[in-house]
Amino acid sequence: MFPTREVFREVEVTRSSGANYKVVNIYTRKGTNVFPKRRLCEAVSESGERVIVKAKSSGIITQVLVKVDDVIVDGSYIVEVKACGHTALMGNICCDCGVLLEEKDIPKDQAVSMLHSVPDLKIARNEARKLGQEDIRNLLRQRKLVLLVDLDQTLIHTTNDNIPPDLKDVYHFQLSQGGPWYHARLRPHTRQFLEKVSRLYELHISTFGVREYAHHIAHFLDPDRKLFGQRILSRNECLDLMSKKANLDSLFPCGDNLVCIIDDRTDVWNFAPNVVQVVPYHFFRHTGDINAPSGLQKNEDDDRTGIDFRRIRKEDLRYPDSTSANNEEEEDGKNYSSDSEGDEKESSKRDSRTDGCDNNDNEKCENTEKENGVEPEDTASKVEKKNLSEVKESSIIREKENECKLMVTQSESLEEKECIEGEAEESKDDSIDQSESSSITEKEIDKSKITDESDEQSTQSESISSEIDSTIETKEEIATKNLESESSKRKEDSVTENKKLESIQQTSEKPSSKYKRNEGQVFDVVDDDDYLLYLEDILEKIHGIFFKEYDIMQKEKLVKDSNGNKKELATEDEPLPDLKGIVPRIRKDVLKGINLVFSGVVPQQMKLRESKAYFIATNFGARVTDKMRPRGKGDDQGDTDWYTTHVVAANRHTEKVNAAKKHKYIKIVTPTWLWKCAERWEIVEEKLFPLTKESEVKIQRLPPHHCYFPEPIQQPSTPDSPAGHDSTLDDMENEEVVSAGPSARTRTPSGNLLEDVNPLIYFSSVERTSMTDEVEKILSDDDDDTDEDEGDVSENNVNSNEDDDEEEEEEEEEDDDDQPSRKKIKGNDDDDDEEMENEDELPSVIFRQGGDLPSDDSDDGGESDDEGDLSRMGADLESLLS
Amino acid sequence: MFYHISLEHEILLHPRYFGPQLMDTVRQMLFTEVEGTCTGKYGFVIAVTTIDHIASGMIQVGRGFVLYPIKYKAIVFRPFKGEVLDAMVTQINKIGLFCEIGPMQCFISRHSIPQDLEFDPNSNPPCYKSRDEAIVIQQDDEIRVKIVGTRVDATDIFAIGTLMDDYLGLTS
Repeated sequence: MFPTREVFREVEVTRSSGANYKVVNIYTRKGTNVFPKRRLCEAVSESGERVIVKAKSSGIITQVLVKVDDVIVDGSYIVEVKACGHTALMGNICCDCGVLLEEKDIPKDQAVSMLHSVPDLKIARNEARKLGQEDIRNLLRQRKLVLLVDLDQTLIHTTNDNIPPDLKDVYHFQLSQGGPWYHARLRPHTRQFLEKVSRLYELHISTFGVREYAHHIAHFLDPDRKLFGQRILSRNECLDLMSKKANLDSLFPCGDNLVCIIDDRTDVWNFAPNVVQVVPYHFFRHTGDINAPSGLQKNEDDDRTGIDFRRIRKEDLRYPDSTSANNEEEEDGKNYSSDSEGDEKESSKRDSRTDGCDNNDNEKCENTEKENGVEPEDTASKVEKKNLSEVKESSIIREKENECKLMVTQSESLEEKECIEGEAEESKDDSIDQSESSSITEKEIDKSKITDESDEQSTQSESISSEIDSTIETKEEIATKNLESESSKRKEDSVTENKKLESIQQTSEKPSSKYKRNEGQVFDVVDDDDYLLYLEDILEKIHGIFFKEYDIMQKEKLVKDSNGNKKELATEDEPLPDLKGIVPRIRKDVLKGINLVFSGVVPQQMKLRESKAYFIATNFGARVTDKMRPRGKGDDQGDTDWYTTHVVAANRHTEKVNAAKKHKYIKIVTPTWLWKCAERWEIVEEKLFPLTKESEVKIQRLPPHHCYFPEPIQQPSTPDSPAGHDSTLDDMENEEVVSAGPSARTRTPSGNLLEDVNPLIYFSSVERTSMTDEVEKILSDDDDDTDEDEGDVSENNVNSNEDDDEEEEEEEEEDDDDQPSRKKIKGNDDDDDEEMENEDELPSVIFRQGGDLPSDDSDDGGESDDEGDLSRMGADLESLLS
Repeated sequence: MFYHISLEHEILLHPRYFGPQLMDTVRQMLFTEVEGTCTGKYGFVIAVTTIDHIASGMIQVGRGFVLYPIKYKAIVFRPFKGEVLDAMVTQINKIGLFCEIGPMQCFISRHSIPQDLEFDPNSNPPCYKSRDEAIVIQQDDEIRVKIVGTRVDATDIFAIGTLMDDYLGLTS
């Protein structure tokens, strides 16, 4: 800033002119702040008139140019001022000099808000960059990176449905007096996860929840404010309500090289490459992400996964008694234990056991605890899974009907399970191989039994229920559905056993005949979600690779410096590795060296390269070919010595599967294997996903939503970027394997990524204009059934756009209501205006998110305001008087 | 600065309160409606001290509500530029620190914090401290600040402060 000088202007202080003034008093000195109208000095004219000279600009005084008794005339300089640059603004007030700036003086494009919590505070860009640089230096000194953490469905799952109180790890809160109650369930292992990750990363919360919500949860996760501190970004501070991306620039003015993001959805990050997409955490059934941006709700699994507390009646809950002991278990055979990996839960689990059932009824609590070798183990482990499913099913049925007769089978199965658990643990202790094989057998048995099992169970329960209630049949259907979903979970469990040498608690609700309220005790629902353990590994890996590259860069720089004899200080342009490049590269390494052939996964009429499966596989570094490439068939030279290692098949009787069976080295797996690999970023044991008659039935041909990684639009520019690697791969495949590929970059033949990646959500410009026209027409018609029409419009477009049945099926599944299809319109049509969005939002959704609902009498017109006022006043008064 | 001034306010009362407790209700309503509010002109109304006069109520035509004009005295807090006040630190960050002067929020930019105090992001909670750690300003500390500017909204006043003057800074 250039120094300016405060000039004494006679006309501003007095009417006389041409007089000499003698300075009698100086009110400022060097180094103090001045602002307009601050007194600088006092002077007396020859005629005895006293005048006060005031400042006209703001800043810091660098020099006082007059002394007491000096004579000043019109035009004399009084002080030299270093003008304030107004680098920090709070609204329209400068934070340095306190001057209120005019609207026109505020540099809008230059200002960024750097604080999570105070978006009003704007910093000039160059100043912000300086601060950002300081941050980066500080982070690197601590060898930390930045991790933006999403809350909903990543670390917690929140509902405002009615749930039983005193659940373990569930936090109940209200955002406002009289508002809805929120119940937030912590994902298993969250606390350890955060603690470990906070050593490697500076944690920031980034959520679409409102500020109070975010702070409540932050307080819950981090009561001491050690992990997140003030770094909480909520919906109130979001610059863009549909995307979290917009805030990145201002929070990290020096670029987001160090920023890694964990979120259960990438679309809100504009599919940024540094997002690690996590498997959404789902605990409460019927509730999705309550804070999803309006119009972007996704509820694909809301009613399928999670625990449904609506069906557990309050009186069915029982609080475990802490006084129980092992022998008690053996006595009544009502408890079974399963080992848990969570150490934090250990103690509580030890305590949480069922006491003897009061009525000797059919109810029991399923409790988990860590018990090594406590139980006698004899029974074959093969039955374990079967029993589990049995238990589960029966417990579900029990929820429906309090039927005593099931008791027998249940206690049997429970006893069995007790024993089996113990054995499973033992075998784990022995060796990896053993446990692997055992769990594989378990799986097989599981699969073979599961169908019979469910039939058996349903007939059983049917006979019982017919005695009591004829309406039970529908409930049974639900129960069997549950069984299905849970049996798929079982797969994960056995994988975990292999990979982590840890076993997972098996889930089931614990209904009980009595609702006992024991103070200080919590009711623990077993939750087998262990994704955070994998996530921790992924993040550790990312951290490790980043600093490895950083160290190499630093070394190179040192060498360069010593060679060139340049003693440079750390400049602003210090090169840094970029996580936007590193994260995709790590992802690419996951399945490196694996050569896949899909069979029965990609529909025939769809091109291999346009399928999601191909997309995921290549994104994780696997090579995908059209045809089988057996080993050693002539061309095992140079670049082409690779051969097919895996066949991902959805059908046992395809040509490829039969061909692959001839080669022992080719592993035949179900598509679930691929999805699991994509979830965990590691090669999952193939033996856990064998293609058998049973597994074939419940095959997931389409990837779950959360392992869908669209390619980043802009490829990272690091020298060994995956982009280069990828294109060579594509070329090679084109030449040698793929006959259908029209061009080298088949993945984007139209040049539009969206179209190729997901033809369903892509609309051509023609379609878009036609859609807008149609919508406008409908709107102008002022028709009542706007909603329906719109839904149809989008659906038609969607259908016309896609070319495969498989996708369509999925699409229709999603399009149960109008919401998702609308979302597509919005997502792609920029012409859509805000008003429509607001209309779309259901009041219930707004309510869930804690927003203000339009009052019911809002259509009373002019009167309504007064009415509202009065009733509020009345209510206030009443509260006062009471 | 605190002032004890005379103010006026009008209370609109629902007919259901017409009864023996009428005047008590009016007084109560005055307290709730006035105390804790903020106007740009008079600042924050801290407390009503005396109710000087409650004029006779005017029944509103067609509604039955009654309007009471009230004259009362209250203690108000009106910050001024250049005023020196004690504040409580609420938040510290790399850009500066936030503090509360009674009901008023105040921000002190790091440029207005003496140069010998440096921001330390690694301590928990973050703080500004001198090299030798003789002075540490952190959350919940009491500081003396000078107000260099105020931003007056319809219902709130926000202040900008400085620590760059004699006898400013930590008081505890």
